[in-house]
Amino acid sequence: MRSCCSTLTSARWLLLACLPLLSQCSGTTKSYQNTLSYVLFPAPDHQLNRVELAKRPYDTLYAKVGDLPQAVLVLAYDEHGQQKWLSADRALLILQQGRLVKTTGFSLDLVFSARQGIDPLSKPLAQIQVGDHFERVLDWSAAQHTNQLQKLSIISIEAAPLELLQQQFDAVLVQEQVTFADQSTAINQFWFERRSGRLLQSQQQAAAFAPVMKLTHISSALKLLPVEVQSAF
Amino acid sequence: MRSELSLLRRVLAGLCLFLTASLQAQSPAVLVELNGQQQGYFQQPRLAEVLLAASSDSRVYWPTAQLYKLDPKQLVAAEQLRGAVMEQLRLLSIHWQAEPQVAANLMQLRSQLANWRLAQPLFLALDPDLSRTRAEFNPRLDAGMYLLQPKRRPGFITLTGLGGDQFVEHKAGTLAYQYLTQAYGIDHRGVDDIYWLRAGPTPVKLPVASWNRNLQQLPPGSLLFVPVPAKWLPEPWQDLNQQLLQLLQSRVYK
Repeated sequence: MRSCCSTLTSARWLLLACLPLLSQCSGTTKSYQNTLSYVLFPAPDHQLNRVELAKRPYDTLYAKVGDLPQAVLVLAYDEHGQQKWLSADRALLILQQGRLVKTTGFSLDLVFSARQGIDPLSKPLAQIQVGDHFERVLDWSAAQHTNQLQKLSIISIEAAPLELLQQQFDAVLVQEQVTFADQSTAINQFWFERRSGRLLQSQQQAAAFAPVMKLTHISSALKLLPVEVQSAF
Repeated sequence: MRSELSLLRRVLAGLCLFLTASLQAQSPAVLVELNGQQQGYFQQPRLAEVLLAASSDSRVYWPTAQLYKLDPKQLVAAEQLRGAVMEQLRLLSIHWQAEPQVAANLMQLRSQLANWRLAQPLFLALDPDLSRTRAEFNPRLDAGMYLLQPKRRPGFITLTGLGGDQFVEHKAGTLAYQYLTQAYGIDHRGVDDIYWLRAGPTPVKLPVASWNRNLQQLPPGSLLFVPVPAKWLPEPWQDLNQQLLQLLQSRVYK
Protein backbone atom coordinates (compact mmCIF):
# COMPACT_ATOMS: atom_id res chain seq x y z
CA MET A 1 0.00 0.00 0.00
CA ARG A 2 1.38 3.38 -0.90
CA SER A 3 1.22 6.08 1.70
CA CYS A 4 2.36 9.65 1.48
CA CYS A 5 4.54 8.99 4.51
CA SER A 6 4.77 6.08 6.85
CA THR A 7 6.50 8.26 9.39
CA LEU A 8 5.88 11.93 8.95
CA THR A 9 8.67 14.17 7.91
CA SER A 10 7.81 17.78 8.42
CA ALA A 11 9.20 18.75 5.02
CA ARG A 12 6.89 16.35 3.24
CA TRP A 13 3.96 17.52 5.27
CA LEU A 14 4.78 21.14 4.59
CA LEU A 15 4.86 20.32 0.91
CA LEU A 16 1.47 18.63 1.09
CA ALA A 17 0.03 21.54 3.06
CA CYS A 18 1.33 24.07 0.57
CA LEU A 19 0.20 22.28 -2.56
CA PRO A 20 -2.88 24.43 -3.08
CA LEU A 21 -0.77 27.56 -2.77
CA LEU A 22 1.69 26.68 -5.46
CA SER A 23 1.26 28.79 -8.53
CA GLN A 24 2.99 26.30 -10.83
CA CYS A 25 0.34 23.61 -10.80
CA SER A 26 1.50 20.08 -11.34
CA GLY A 27 -0.97 17.31 -12.03
CA THR A 28 -0.85 16.36 -8.37
CA THR A 29 -1.50 19.91 -7.29
CA LYS A 30 -4.44 20.17 -9.62
CA SER A 31 -5.78 16.95 -8.28
CA TYR A 32 -5.44 18.25 -4.75
CA GLN A 33 -7.03 21.55 -5.66
CA ASN A 34 -9.87 19.73 -7.34
CA THR A 35 -10.38 17.70 -4.20
CA LEU A 36 -10.47 20.92 -2.22
CA SER A 37 -12.94 22.52 -4.57
CA TYR A 38 -15.29 19.57 -4.19
CA VAL A 39 -15.31 20.23 -0.47
CA LEU A 40 -15.93 23.95 -0.85
CA PHE A 41 -18.44 23.55 -3.68
CA PRO A 42 -19.69 20.03 -3.18
CA ALA A 43 -20.64 18.23 -6.30
CA PRO A 44 -22.65 15.06 -6.01
CA ASP A 45 -20.51 11.99 -5.49
CA HIS A 46 -17.23 12.96 -7.05
CA GLN A 47 -15.27 10.17 -8.69
CA LEU A 48 -11.89 10.08 -10.34
CA ASN A 49 -11.35 8.23 -13.59
CA ARG A 50 -8.70 5.55 -13.93
CA VAL A 51 -6.12 7.90 -15.41
CA GLU A 52 -6.58 10.47 -12.64
CA LEU A 53 -6.37 7.70 -10.08
CA ALA A 54 -3.25 6.20 -11.60
CA LYS A 55 -1.54 9.60 -11.63
CA ARG A 56 -2.21 10.31 -7.99
CA PRO A 57 0.91 9.81 -5.91
CA TYR A 58 -1.06 8.66 -2.88
CA ASP A 59 -3.61 5.95 -2.34
CA THR A 60 -7.16 7.20 -2.55
CA LEU A 61 -10.33 6.41 -0.66
CA TYR A 62 -13.86 7.52 -1.44
CA ALA A 63 -15.89 8.28 1.66
CA LYS A 64 -19.59 8.98 1.67
CA VAL A 65 -20.90 9.97 5.07
CA GLY A 66 -24.67 9.75 5.38
CA ASP A 67 -26.36 11.78 2.66
CA LEU A 68 -23.38 14.08 2.09
CA PRO A 69 -21.63 14.06 -1.27
CA GLN A 70 -18.83 11.56 -1.69
CA ALA A 71 -15.43 12.93 -0.67
CA VAL A 72 -12.00 11.96 -1.95
CA LEU A 73 -9.41 11.21 0.73
CA VAL A 74 -5.70 10.44 0.50
CA LEU A 75 -3.69 8.01 2.59
CA ALA A 76 -1.66 10.36 4.78
CA TYR A 77 -0.14 7.85 7.20
CA ASP A 78 0.14 4.09 7.27
CA GLU A 79 1.45 3.25 10.73
CA HIS A 80 0.91 0.92 13.68
CA GLY A 81 -1.41 -1.23 11.57
CA GLN A 82 -3.68 1.72 10.89
CA GLN A 83 -4.41 3.59 7.71
CA LYS A 84 -5.07 7.30 8.24
CA TRP A 85 -7.04 8.94 5.43
CA LEU A 86 -7.01 12.70 5.11
CA SER A 87 -9.67 14.84 3.47
CA ALA A 88 -9.01 18.15 1.80
CA ASP A 89 -10.58 19.95 4.76
CA ARG A 90 -8.14 18.05 7.01
CA ALA A 91 -10.50 15.64 8.65
CA LEU A 92 -8.94 12.26 9.32
CA LEU A 93 -10.55 8.83 9.11
CA ILE A 94 -8.47 6.14 10.78
CA LEU A 95 -9.13 2.56 9.77
CA GLN A 96 -7.81 -0.71 11.10
CA GLN A 97 -8.51 -3.75 8.95
CA GLY A 98 -10.94 -1.49 7.12
CA ARG A 99 -12.93 -0.74 10.25
CA LEU A 100 -13.32 2.83 11.49
CA VAL A 101 -11.43 3.15 14.80
CA LYS A 102 -10.84 6.89 15.17
CA THR A 103 -11.60 10.24 13.57
CA THR A 104 -10.33 13.79 13.96
CA GLY A 105 -11.73 17.03 12.59
CA PHE A 106 -15.43 16.17 12.82
CA SER A 107 -17.94 17.94 15.06
CA LEU A 108 -18.28 14.67 16.95
CA ASP A 109 -15.13 12.58 16.82
CA LEU A 110 -14.54 8.96 17.60
CA VAL A 111 -11.56 9.44 19.92
CA PHE A 112 -10.87 5.90 21.04
CA SER A 113 -11.85 2.30 20.43
CA ALA A 114 -10.67 -0.76 22.29
CA ARG A 115 -11.30 -4.25 21.03
CA GLN A 116 -12.13 -7.20 23.23
CA GLY A 117 -11.50 -10.35 21.25
CA ILE A 118 -10.28 -10.85 17.71
CA ASP A 119 -11.79 -8.73 14.98
CA PRO A 120 -12.77 -11.25 12.26
CA LEU A 121 -11.68 -8.69 9.66
CA SER A 122 -8.10 -9.15 10.85
CA LYS A 123 -8.17 -12.74 9.62
CA PRO A 124 -7.56 -13.90 6.04
CA LEU A 125 -10.80 -13.85 4.08
CA ALA A 126 -10.97 -17.65 3.83
CA GLN A 127 -10.87 -17.95 7.61
CA ILE A 128 -13.70 -15.54 8.38
CA GLN A 129 -16.71 -17.55 9.48
CA VAL A 130 -20.34 -16.90 10.24
CA GLY A 131 -20.65 -16.63 14.01
CA ASP A 132 -17.26 -14.96 14.52
CA HIS A 133 -17.83 -12.21 17.03
CA PHE A 134 -16.11 -9.67 19.24
CA GLU A 135 -16.87 -6.58 21.27
CA ARG A 136 -15.44 -3.12 21.38
CA VAL A 137 -15.75 -0.08 23.58
CA LEU A 138 -15.87 3.33 21.93
CA ASP A 139 -15.34 6.80 23.32
CA TRP A 140 -16.67 9.74 21.34
CA SER A 141 -15.67 13.33 21.97
CA ALA A 142 -18.96 14.12 23.73
CA ALA A 143 -19.05 12.95 27.35
CA GLN A 144 -22.50 11.39 26.95
CA HIS A 145 -21.15 9.13 24.24
CA THR A 146 -18.21 7.60 26.10
CA ASN A 147 -17.75 4.00 27.18
CA GLN A 148 -20.14 2.77 24.48
CA LEU A 149 -20.03 -1.00 24.29
CA GLN A 150 -20.95 -2.60 20.99
CA LYS A 151 -21.15 -6.24 19.98
CA LEU A 152 -20.34 -7.37 16.47
CA SER A 153 -21.06 -10.73 14.93
CA ILE A 154 -20.61 -12.09 11.40
CA ILE A 155 -24.01 -13.14 10.07
CA SER A 156 -23.37 -14.00 6.43
CA ILE A 157 -20.64 -14.53 3.86
CA GLU A 158 -21.70 -14.71 0.23
CA ALA A 159 -20.59 -14.02 -3.31
CA ALA A 160 -21.58 -10.53 -4.42
CA PRO A 161 -20.07 -9.14 -7.61
CA LEU A 162 -19.07 -5.50 -7.20
CA GLU A 163 -18.69 -2.95 -9.96
CA LEU A 164 -15.98 -0.34 -9.55
CA LEU A 165 -14.06 1.60 -12.21
CA GLN A 166 -16.44 0.18 -14.79
CA GLN A 167 -15.13 -3.28 -14.01
CA GLN A 168 -16.83 -6.21 -12.40
CA PHE A 169 -14.96 -7.58 -9.39
CA ASP A 170 -15.40 -11.11 -8.10
CA ALA A 171 -16.22 -10.06 -4.57
CA VAL A 172 -17.25 -11.72 -1.34
CA LEU A 173 -19.67 -9.81 0.86
CA VAL A 174 -19.16 -10.27 4.58
CA GLN A 175 -22.05 -8.96 6.64
CA GLU A 176 -21.97 -8.43 10.36
CA GLN A 177 -24.62 -7.37 12.79
CA VAL A 178 -23.64 -4.68 15.21
CA THR A 179 -25.56 -4.17 18.43
CA PHE A 180 -25.03 -0.71 19.87
CA ALA A 181 -25.03 0.40 23.50
CA ASP A 182 -28.72 1.35 23.27
CA GLN A 183 -29.46 -2.19 21.97
CA SER A 184 -30.39 -0.94 18.50
CA THR A 185 -28.77 -2.84 15.66
CA ALA A 186 -27.36 -2.24 12.21
CA ILE A 187 -25.76 -4.32 9.48
CA ASN A 188 -22.19 -3.56 8.45
CA GLN A 189 -21.06 -4.76 5.03
CA PHE A 190 -17.56 -5.46 3.74
CA TRP A 191 -16.80 -6.42 0.13
CA PHE A 192 -13.52 -8.28 -0.38
CA GLU A 193 -11.98 -9.25 -3.70
CA ARG A 194 -12.10 -13.04 -3.62
CA ARG A 195 -8.63 -13.93 -4.92
CA SER A 196 -6.51 -11.33 -3.14
CA GLY A 197 -8.70 -10.93 -0.07
CA ARG A 198 -8.32 -7.16 -0.38
CA LEU A 199 -11.05 -4.98 1.00
CA LEU A 200 -12.70 -3.01 -1.81
CA GLN A 201 -15.67 -1.40 -0.16
CA SER A 202 -17.48 -1.19 3.14
CA GLN A 203 -20.63 0.27 4.52
CA GLN A 204 -20.40 0.68 8.26
CA GLN A 205 -21.98 2.47 11.15
CA ALA A 206 -19.92 3.19 14.26
CA ALA A 207 -22.76 4.21 16.59
CA ALA A 208 -26.54 4.35 16.62
CA PHE A 209 -26.33 8.16 16.42
CA ALA A 210 -23.63 8.16 13.73
CA PRO A 211 -24.39 8.24 10.00
CA VAL A 212 -23.67 5.24 7.81
CA MET A 213 -20.28 5.57 6.18
CA LYS A 214 -19.61 4.09 2.75
CA LEU A 215 -15.90 3.68 2.09
CA THR A 216 -14.55 2.65 -1.29
CA HIS A 217 -10.89 1.62 -1.46
CA ILE A 218 -10.60 2.76 -5.02
CA SER A 219 -6.80 2.55 -5.25
CA SER A 220 -6.94 -1.06 -4.12
CA ALA A 221 -9.49 -1.73 -6.84
CA LEU A 222 -7.30 -0.05 -9.43
CA LYS A 223 -4.26 -2.10 -8.45
CA LEU A 224 -6.21 -5.31 -8.92
CA LEU A 225 -6.92 -4.49 -12.55
CA PRO A 226 -4.54 -5.73 -15.25
CA VAL A 227 -1.95 -3.06 -16.16
CA GLU A 228 -3.41 -2.51 -19.64
CA VAL A 229 -6.84 -1.88 -18.15
CA GLN A 230 -5.46 0.45 -15.45
CA SER A 231 -4.19 2.92 -18.01
CA ALA A 232 -7.05 2.62 -20.48
CA PHE A 233 -9.57 5.43 -20.75
CA MET B 1 53.33 46.15 28.55
CA ARG B 2 50.02 47.64 29.73
CA SER B 3 48.59 47.57 26.22
CA GLU B 4 49.61 43.90 25.84
CA LEU B 5 47.79 43.05 29.07
CA SER B 6 44.74 44.92 27.88
CA LEU B 7 44.81 43.03 24.59
CA LEU B 8 45.18 39.74 26.46
CA ARG B 9 42.18 40.64 28.65
CA ARG B 10 40.11 41.42 25.59
CA VAL B 11 41.09 38.15 23.94
CA LEU B 12 40.23 36.21 27.08
CA ALA B 13 36.91 38.04 27.44
CA GLY B 14 36.09 37.29 23.81
CA LEU B 15 37.03 33.65 24.31
CA CYS B 16 34.75 33.46 27.37
CA LEU B 17 31.89 35.00 25.43
CA PHE B 18 32.46 32.58 22.55
CA LEU B 19 32.55 29.57 24.89
CA THR B 20 29.41 30.74 26.72
CA ALA B 21 27.60 31.25 23.43
CA SER B 22 28.76 27.84 22.20
CA LEU B 23 27.55 26.13 25.36
CA GLN B 24 24.22 27.92 25.14
CA ALA B 25 23.88 26.93 21.52
CA GLN B 26 24.47 23.29 22.48
CA SER B 27 21.85 23.13 25.22
CA PRO B 28 18.37 22.16 24.05
CA ALA B 29 15.78 24.88 23.71
CA VAL B 30 13.08 22.50 24.91
CA LEU B 31 13.41 19.57 27.30
CA VAL B 32 10.49 17.19 27.61
CA GLU B 33 10.19 14.64 30.40
CA LEU B 34 8.45 11.57 29.04
CA ASN B 35 8.15 8.29 30.93
CA GLY B 36 11.00 9.27 33.26
CA GLN B 37 13.37 10.19 30.45
CA GLN B 38 14.38 13.56 29.10
CA GLN B 39 14.02 14.33 25.43
CA GLY B 40 15.86 17.40 24.17
CA TYR B 41 14.97 19.58 21.19
CA PHE B 42 17.59 22.04 20.00
CA GLN B 43 15.01 24.02 18.07
CA GLN B 44 11.63 24.78 19.55
CA PRO B 45 9.49 21.88 18.34
CA ARG B 46 5.93 21.91 17.17
CA LEU B 47 3.49 20.11 19.46
CA ALA B 48 3.06 17.23 16.99
CA GLU B 49 6.77 16.44 17.08
CA VAL B 50 6.66 16.12 20.87
CA LEU B 51 3.49 14.02 20.86
CA LEU B 52 4.77 11.70 18.16
CA ALA B 53 7.60 10.69 20.48
CA ALA B 54 4.94 9.01 22.63
CA SER B 55 2.69 7.73 19.89
CA SER B 56 4.52 4.48 19.21
CA ASP B 57 2.57 3.05 22.15
CA SER B 58 -0.83 2.39 20.63
CA ARG B 59 -2.37 2.08 24.11
CA VAL B 60 -2.00 5.79 24.81
CA TYR B 61 -5.36 7.39 25.56
CA TRP B 62 -4.87 10.90 24.24
CA PRO B 63 -8.06 12.46 25.70
CA THR B 64 -6.53 12.29 29.20
CA ALA B 65 -2.90 12.97 28.27
CA GLN B 66 -1.43 16.02 29.96
CA LEU B 67 1.34 18.42 29.04
CA TYR B 68 2.82 20.57 31.82
CA LYS B 69 5.37 23.37 31.81
CA LEU B 70 8.05 22.76 34.43
CA ASP B 71 9.96 26.01 34.45
CA PRO B 72 10.96 26.72 38.07
CA LYS B 73 10.15 30.44 37.80
CA GLN B 74 6.56 29.65 36.96
CA LEU B 75 6.31 27.21 39.85
CA VAL B 76 7.15 29.81 42.46
CA ALA B 77 3.59 31.15 42.57
CA ALA B 78 2.15 27.64 42.88
CA GLU B 79 4.59 26.80 45.70
CA GLN B 80 3.67 30.02 47.51
CA LEU B 81 0.01 29.12 47.19
CA ARG B 82 0.70 25.63 48.49
CA GLY B 83 2.44 27.11 51.55
CA ALA B 84 -0.46 29.50 52.19
CA VAL B 85 -3.10 26.76 51.85
CA MET B 86 -1.18 24.40 54.14
CA GLU B 87 -0.98 27.10 56.78
CA GLN B 88 -4.71 27.81 56.45
CA LEU B 89 -5.49 24.12 56.86
CA ARG B 90 -3.30 23.98 59.97
CA LEU B 91 -5.07 26.97 61.52
CA LEU B 92 -8.49 25.64 60.52
CA SER B 93 -7.78 22.28 62.15
CA ILE B 94 -6.85 24.17 65.35
CA HIS B 95 -10.14 26.04 65.06
CA TRP B 96 -11.95 22.68 64.93
CA GLN B 97 -9.98 21.02 67.72
CA ALA B 98 -13.25 20.46 69.60
CA GLU B 99 -14.32 18.30 66.64
CA PRO B 100 -11.46 15.81 66.39
CA GLN B 101 -12.78 14.10 63.25
CA VAL B 102 -13.03 17.37 61.33
CA ALA B 103 -9.60 18.48 62.57
CA ALA B 104 -8.08 15.12 61.57
CA ASN B 105 -9.61 15.30 58.08
CA LEU B 106 -8.19 18.77 57.56
CA MET B 107 -4.72 17.73 58.71
CA GLN B 108 -4.89 14.66 56.49
CA LEU B 109 -5.65 16.87 53.49
CA ARG B 110 -2.76 19.11 54.53
CA SER B 111 -0.29 16.22 54.57
CA GLN B 112 -1.51 14.95 51.18
CA LEU B 113 -1.19 18.37 49.68
CA ALA B 114 2.43 18.57 50.85
CA ASN B 115 3.30 15.65 48.58
CA TRP B 116 1.67 16.89 45.41
CA ARG B 117 3.94 17.50 42.47
CA LEU B 118 3.07 20.88 40.99
CA ALA B 119 3.46 22.14 37.44
CA GLN B 120 1.73 24.45 35.03
CA PRO B 121 -0.80 22.50 32.94
CA LEU B 122 -1.11 23.53 29.31
CA PHE B 123 -4.64 23.26 28.03
CA LEU B 124 -3.89 22.11 24.51
CA ALA B 125 -5.69 19.46 22.51
CA LEU B 126 -3.20 16.60 22.72
CA ASP B 127 -3.54 14.16 19.86
CA PRO B 128 -0.74 13.58 17.36
CA ASP B 129 -3.22 12.81 14.60
CA LEU B 130 -5.01 16.09 15.14
CA SER B 131 -1.95 18.28 15.66
CA ARG B 132 -0.11 17.06 12.56
CA THR B 133 -3.08 17.56 10.28
CA ARG B 134 -4.41 20.88 11.60
CA ALA B 135 -2.01 23.81 11.97
CA GLU B 136 -4.22 25.47 14.58
CA PHE B 137 -3.65 22.49 16.88
CA ASN B 138 0.08 22.39 16.30
CA PRO B 139 1.65 25.38 18.09
CA ARG B 140 5.38 25.78 18.48
CA LEU B 141 6.39 25.20 22.11
CA ASP B 142 8.12 28.00 24.00
CA ALA B 143 11.65 27.30 25.20
CA GLY B 144 11.73 25.58 28.57
CA MET B 145 11.08 22.31 30.33
CA TYR B 146 7.93 20.24 29.96
CA LEU B 147 6.37 17.10 31.31
CA LEU B 148 4.33 14.97 28.91
CA GLN B 149 2.09 12.38 30.52
CA PRO B 150 0.54 10.00 28.02
CA LYS B 151 -1.63 7.54 29.90
CA ARG B 152 -3.61 4.43 29.16
CA ARG B 153 -7.37 4.74 29.22
CA PRO B 154 -8.48 5.18 32.83
CA GLY B 155 -11.67 3.26 33.46
CA PHE B 156 -12.59 5.44 36.44
CA ILE B 157 -13.48 8.91 37.69
CA THR B 158 -11.27 10.49 40.36
CA LEU B 159 -12.90 12.46 43.18
CA THR B 160 -10.53 14.46 45.31
CA GLY B 161 -11.03 16.52 48.45
CA LEU B 162 -11.24 15.73 52.12
CA GLY B 163 -10.34 12.08 52.57
CA GLY B 164 -7.95 12.09 49.61
CA ASP B 165 -8.50 10.59 46.18
CA GLN B 166 -11.40 8.24 45.60
CA PHE B 167 -11.83 6.26 42.42
CA VAL B 168 -15.23 5.28 41.04
CA GLU B 169 -15.63 3.07 37.98
CA HIS B 170 -16.73 5.00 34.91
CA LYS B 171 -20.03 3.83 33.48
CA ALA B 172 -21.82 5.01 30.38
CA GLY B 173 -24.79 7.22 31.16
CA THR B 174 -23.77 7.95 34.76
CA LEU B 175 -24.21 11.56 35.85
CA ALA B 176 -21.58 13.51 37.80
CA TYR B 177 -23.58 13.62 41.03
CA GLN B 178 -24.06 9.84 40.91
CA TYR B 179 -20.29 9.33 41.12
CA LEU B 180 -20.33 11.60 44.17
CA THR B 181 -23.12 9.53 45.73
CA GLN B 182 -21.15 6.34 45.12
CA ALA B 183 -18.05 7.79 46.78
CA TYR B 184 -19.50 9.82 49.65
CA GLY B 185 -23.01 8.54 50.23
CA ILE B 186 -26.38 10.03 49.53
CA ASP B 187 -25.90 13.22 51.57
CA HIS B 188 -22.73 14.11 49.63
CA ARG B 189 -21.27 15.24 52.97
CA GLY B 190 -23.31 18.40 52.75
CA VAL B 191 -21.68 19.54 49.51
CA ASP B 192 -23.91 21.49 47.09
CA ASP B 193 -21.43 21.96 44.22
CA ILE B 194 -18.50 20.04 42.87
CA TYR B 195 -15.98 21.09 40.24
CA TRP B 196 -14.94 19.28 37.08
CA LEU B 197 -11.27 19.95 36.47
CA ARG B 198 -9.08 19.62 33.41
CA ALA B 199 -12.02 19.95 31.03
CA GLY B 200 -10.46 23.34 30.21
CA PRO B 201 -8.53 26.16 31.82
CA THR B 202 -11.50 27.02 34.05
CA PRO B 203 -13.01 24.38 36.36
CA VAL B 204 -16.65 23.64 35.60
CA LYS B 205 -18.99 24.08 38.56
CA LEU B 206 -21.56 21.30 38.79
CA PRO B 207 -24.46 21.74 41.23
CA VAL B 208 -25.22 18.42 42.92
CA ALA B 209 -27.83 19.31 45.55
CA SER B 210 -30.98 17.22 45.16
CA TRP B 211 -33.10 20.24 44.18
CA ASN B 212 -30.58 21.68 41.70
CA ARG B 213 -28.46 18.91 40.33
CA ASN B 214 -26.65 19.19 37.04
CA LEU B 215 -27.17 16.32 34.58
CA GLN B 216 -23.62 16.40 33.19
CA GLN B 217 -22.09 13.09 32.16
CA LEU B 218 -18.33 12.69 32.34
CA PRO B 219 -15.75 11.04 30.11
CA PRO B 220 -13.46 8.41 31.65
CA GLY B 221 -10.48 9.83 33.51
CA SER B 222 -12.37 12.94 34.68
CA LEU B 223 -11.20 14.66 37.85
CA LEU B 224 -13.77 16.05 40.31
CA PHE B 225 -12.98 18.32 43.22
CA VAL B 226 -15.25 17.87 46.22
CA PRO B 227 -14.93 21.08 48.27
CA VAL B 228 -14.62 21.30 52.01
CA PRO B 229 -18.26 21.72 53.20
CA ALA B 230 -19.17 25.37 53.75
CA LYS B 231 -20.28 24.65 57.32
CA TRP B 232 -16.65 23.88 58.18
CA LEU B 233 -15.37 27.16 56.82
CA PRO B 234 -15.84 30.12 59.15
CA GLU B 235 -15.37 33.66 57.86
CA PRO B 236 -11.53 33.80 57.65
CA TRP B 237 -11.38 30.57 55.60
CA GLN B 238 -14.11 31.18 53.07
CA ASP B 239 -11.64 31.39 50.18
CA LEU B 240 -10.03 28.07 51.05
CA ASN B 241 -11.95 26.03 48.47
CA GLN B 242 -11.08 28.44 45.67
CA GLN B 243 -7.42 28.22 46.64
CA LEU B 244 -7.55 24.43 46.83
CA LEU B 245 -9.15 24.42 43.39
CA GLN B 246 -6.42 26.65 42.01
CA LEU B 247 -3.77 24.40 43.49
CA LEU B 248 -5.44 21.27 42.13
CA GLN B 249 -5.26 22.71 38.64
CA SER B 250 -1.48 22.60 39.01
CA ARG B 251 -1.35 19.14 40.50
CA VAL B 252 0.45 16.49 38.47
CA TYR B 253 -1.40 13.19 38.61
CA LYS B 254 0.72 10.10 38.12
